[in-house]
Amino acid sequence: MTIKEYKMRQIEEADLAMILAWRNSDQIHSMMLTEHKISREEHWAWFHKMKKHAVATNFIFEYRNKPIGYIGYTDYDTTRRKCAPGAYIGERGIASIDCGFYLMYLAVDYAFNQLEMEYLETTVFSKNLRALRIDQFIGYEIISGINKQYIKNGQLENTVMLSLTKASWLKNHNNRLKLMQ
Amino acid sequence: MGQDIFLEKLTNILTTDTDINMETPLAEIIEWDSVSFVLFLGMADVSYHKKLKMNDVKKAQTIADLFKLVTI
Repeated sequence: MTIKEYKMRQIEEADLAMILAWRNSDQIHSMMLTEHKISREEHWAWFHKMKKHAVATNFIFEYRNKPIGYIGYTDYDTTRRKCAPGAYIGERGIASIDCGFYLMYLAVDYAFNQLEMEYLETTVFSKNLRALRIDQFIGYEIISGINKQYIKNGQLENTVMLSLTKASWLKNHNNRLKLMQ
Repeated sequence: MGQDIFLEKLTNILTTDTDINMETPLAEIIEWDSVSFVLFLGMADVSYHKKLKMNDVKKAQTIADLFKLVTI
């Protein structure tokens, strides 16, 4: 899936070391709900398990054919047509400053239009205001009453769960197209 | 809304300790990144009712340029 100079493509084995380095970097790891850093064995096992799935749900995000980030979908549920997208920029300084918008746009648009989901959920740490705001800008709304806690760096941290429906995404489609002009 | 409020809102987006003013070049603000860029689009929409084009924001060189985008 391509938009302007950005595209997402399926992950290949040759990408694994790069993704692991991104995933375990302090900047990315600090935003993840998991407490531990991912081991090489765990990472390769994840890749081989993921390759067996009938539907691709993990991608490299590219700018001018250079890998700069990751897009993935967890809690993939075809019955309820819902999943949880996750995305990050791993390689900074290569792409244009608008890469964050296209990363989020592609992650959500692919879920609704290619994976045929109807409902997306995402969870962020309450104190991660930047992630919270960017999700809200894209159209996610906070689900009140769901405030799970996770241990992060040995501390119990609060999270916020957000959701986005396909109907809401489509309703604001024209506004997003105007931004991209 | 005046420049002071704009600077306050922008500082909030950037979550920066760096002192910024209207003449500060964006290239000198480490926190002016792909996330801040999107958050600025949101701020323009919510606080200034401006739906900016990303290409116009990309051309901005200084904070004054960003201010012009939301006030013109």
